[in-house]
Amino acid sequence: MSEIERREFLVRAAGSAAAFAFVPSVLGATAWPFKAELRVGVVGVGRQGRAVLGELSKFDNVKIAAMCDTDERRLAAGLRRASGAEGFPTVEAMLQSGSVDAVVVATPTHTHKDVALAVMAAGKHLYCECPLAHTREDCSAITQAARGAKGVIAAGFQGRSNPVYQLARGFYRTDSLRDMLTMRAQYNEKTTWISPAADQARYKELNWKLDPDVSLGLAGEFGAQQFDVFHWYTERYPVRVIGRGSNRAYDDGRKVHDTVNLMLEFDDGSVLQYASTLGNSYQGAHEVFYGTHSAIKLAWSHGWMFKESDAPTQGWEVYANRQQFHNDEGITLIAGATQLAEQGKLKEGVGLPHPALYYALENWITCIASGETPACSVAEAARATAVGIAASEAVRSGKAIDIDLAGL
Amino acid sequence: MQTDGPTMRAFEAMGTRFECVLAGIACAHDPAGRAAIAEEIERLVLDWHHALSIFDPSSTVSRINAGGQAIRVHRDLLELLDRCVAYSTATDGAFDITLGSVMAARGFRNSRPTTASSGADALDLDRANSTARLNRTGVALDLGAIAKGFVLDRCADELRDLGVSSALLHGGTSSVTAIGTTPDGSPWRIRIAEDHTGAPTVELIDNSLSVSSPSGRTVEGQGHILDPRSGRSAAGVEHACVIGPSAEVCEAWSTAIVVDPTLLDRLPSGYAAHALIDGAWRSTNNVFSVYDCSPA
Repeated sequence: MSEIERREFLVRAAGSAAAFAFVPSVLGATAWPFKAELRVGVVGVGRQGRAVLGELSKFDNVKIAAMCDTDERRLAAGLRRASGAEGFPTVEAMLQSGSVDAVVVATPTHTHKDVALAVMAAGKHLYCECPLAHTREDCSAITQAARGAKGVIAAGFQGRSNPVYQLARGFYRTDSLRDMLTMRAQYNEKTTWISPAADQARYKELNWKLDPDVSLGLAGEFGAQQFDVFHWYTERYPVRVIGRGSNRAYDDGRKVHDTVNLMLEFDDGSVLQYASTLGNSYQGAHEVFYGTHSAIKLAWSHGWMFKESDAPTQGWEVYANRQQFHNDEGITLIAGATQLAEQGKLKEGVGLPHPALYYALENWITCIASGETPACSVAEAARATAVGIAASEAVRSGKAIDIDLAGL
Repeated sequence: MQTDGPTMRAFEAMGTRFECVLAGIACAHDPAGRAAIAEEIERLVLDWHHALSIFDPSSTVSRINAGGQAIRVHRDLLELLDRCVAYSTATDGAFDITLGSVMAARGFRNSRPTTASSGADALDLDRANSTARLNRTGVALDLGAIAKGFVLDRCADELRDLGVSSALLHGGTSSVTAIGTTPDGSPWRIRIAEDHTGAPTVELIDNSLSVSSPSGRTVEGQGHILDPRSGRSAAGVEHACVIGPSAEVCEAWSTAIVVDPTLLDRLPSGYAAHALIDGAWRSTNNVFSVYDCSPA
C-alpha cells in the first residue's frame, strides 16, 4: 500500500467509524448502573457551583445530598436548587456527616488543594474543577494524594469528555488534517469579570479572580482548559510560553489583565497562538487546528471541519450537515450522527444538547459506577494546570517562561 | 468603562429582548459598579431561560414535558408551578400553564403534536421532594404566559439585595418592573398601547406591570392567547394591562383578563388594571392607588 493509499485508508476507515460513532448520552438520559443513589456533595455553590448543581440534577440515581459554602446567602440559594440536600458551613463537617459518597469541588482555584486533600483523605470520589490549583506545589500535592486515593478522582478539563471533541479527535488522530501546521485558540467574553456584592468583605471574597496574589488570570483560568485540548489531541505539551497582557477594556485599577496574548511553543516546532479579552465577545471560546488537508474548529457545543480543495473526499461527507461561514463551508461534526440520521433528526444534533460540564460530570459518575479511569486524570489535569500557571507567569512578567513538567 | 449616566444592558432571552436600566446603586466600593450588576441580571435571566424554555430539550420544563417520571426541580420553580395552579383556580381556568400541546396543535410552536390536551390536574407536584411530573400523555407545560414576570421578580429581588435603588427592567416590553424612581425622583412613566387613542400612561415606583394582547402573535389570523376552556383564541379584549407589586401576578392576570374580561373585577388585592375591551378602555377604580408601591 502506497503512502497516499495508506493515509486514504486511514481517513476513510476512521471517518466512517468516528462520524457515526454512537455516544449514548448525547441524545438523552443514560440509564445509570447504580443500585442505590450516588450521594454527591458540592463544595462551593457560587457561579460555577450553581452550574454544577444544575447539571447534576439531570442525572437519574444521583442525589445532591449535601453542599457547603462559607457564604450563608449562597448556601441558602444553593439549597433551594436541590431539595433534601443538607447545608454545611465547612467541608470537614460535610465529610464527617457521612452523607456523601462523592464530592465536586467548585471553590476558588487557590482553595482547591485543601478541599481536595480532605475529600481524598475521607475516601470519597472527587471531581475537582479546572484549573486544578494556582501553584505547581499544590498541583503536586493533589497528584500525590490522588495516587493513593480510594475513590475515583477526576478533574474538570471538559474537552476530554465532550462528545464533539471526542469525535473530532478521531478525525485528527487519523490524518484528516494530514500535516498539522499551526494551532490557535481564543476566549472572548464581554464581561467585567466582577461578581457584584453589597458589602466590601463579601465583594473581596467573591472577586478572587481579580486578586493578583491568587488569580491565574485569563491565561490560567480559561487558557488552561483550552490548552489541554491541544495536549490531548497532539499528545504533546508546550516547552516554552511567551505572553503579553494589558488592561484595555477596564481602567478601574484592576491588577489582573483584561486582555492577553500568548504564544506556546511545542518541541516539534509547532506553535499555539492564544488570545483572550474581556472587552469583546466575538466568536467566544474556540480552538482551531490547521492542517494541509483541512482545519478543525471546536467551539465546545459545536465542531466543524473545513476541507481544502485538494483534500480527498470521504464517503460520509456526502450525507454530512454543512454550515456556511462567509467564504468557507464547514462540515458539521455531529456526535451520535447515525442514530440522529435514523430518527430524521440529524439537524437537531448540530449542537450538543447539554453544556460541556454535563458530559464531564457524566464521565466521572460513569467511572464511579464502572471503575474505569476518567477521561481526564489528575496527572493530566496537573500538567495542563502547570502550563496554565506558566502562561500566567509569562503574561505577568512579560518574559519567556520555560515549561518543565517533570515530576507531574 | 463606568459612565456617569444610567447603565443599560440588552440581551435576548425567552424569545424576546430584555433590557435593564440601572441608575441608582448603593455599593460605591464596586469599581465596575452597575455594569457588573447588569451582567449579573443577564446571567440570572439566562439561567431561568435555560430552565423554563420549551425549545431547549435539556431544560427542566422540557424534561417534565417528556412525561413519565418525576423530575427534580429548583425549589423556586416548584413554588412557581404551585402558584400557577392557584392562578388557574383563581381565574376559573382562564390562566393555564398546561396548554403547551394545545398551543403546538394550533400552530404556535415548531411542531404539531398528534394528541393534545390540557388541565392543571395533569400536573403532580411533590412538595416534600421538590419534583414535578405530568400524569397524562398529550399534556405539556408552557410557561410563556408567566415566565417573564417570574424572572423579573427574581431580578428585582437580586437588585435590591445588591443595593440598587433605581432601575427599570422589561422583557419584550410587555412585562416591566421598576425599582424606586427615576434618578430625578419622578416615577418611571410607561405609555400603554402607544398607537391607540386614549391609551393610559402608567407611572411606576417600586412596582410592575404586564400587558397582554392577542395580537402579539397570530397564526392564520388567530391570536396566540387561547381560552383554555375552549381551546379557541381569545377575542374581545385588545389589551389587558395589570399593575401591582409582583410582575408574575401581573402577567398571570393580564393573560387571564384577555381570556375573560369579567376577571377585571376580581383582581387580587393591591393590583389594578386597564383593559381595552370592544374598543373602549376600562379601568379598575384603584389604578392610581397602586401606581406607587414604594415601602411606606
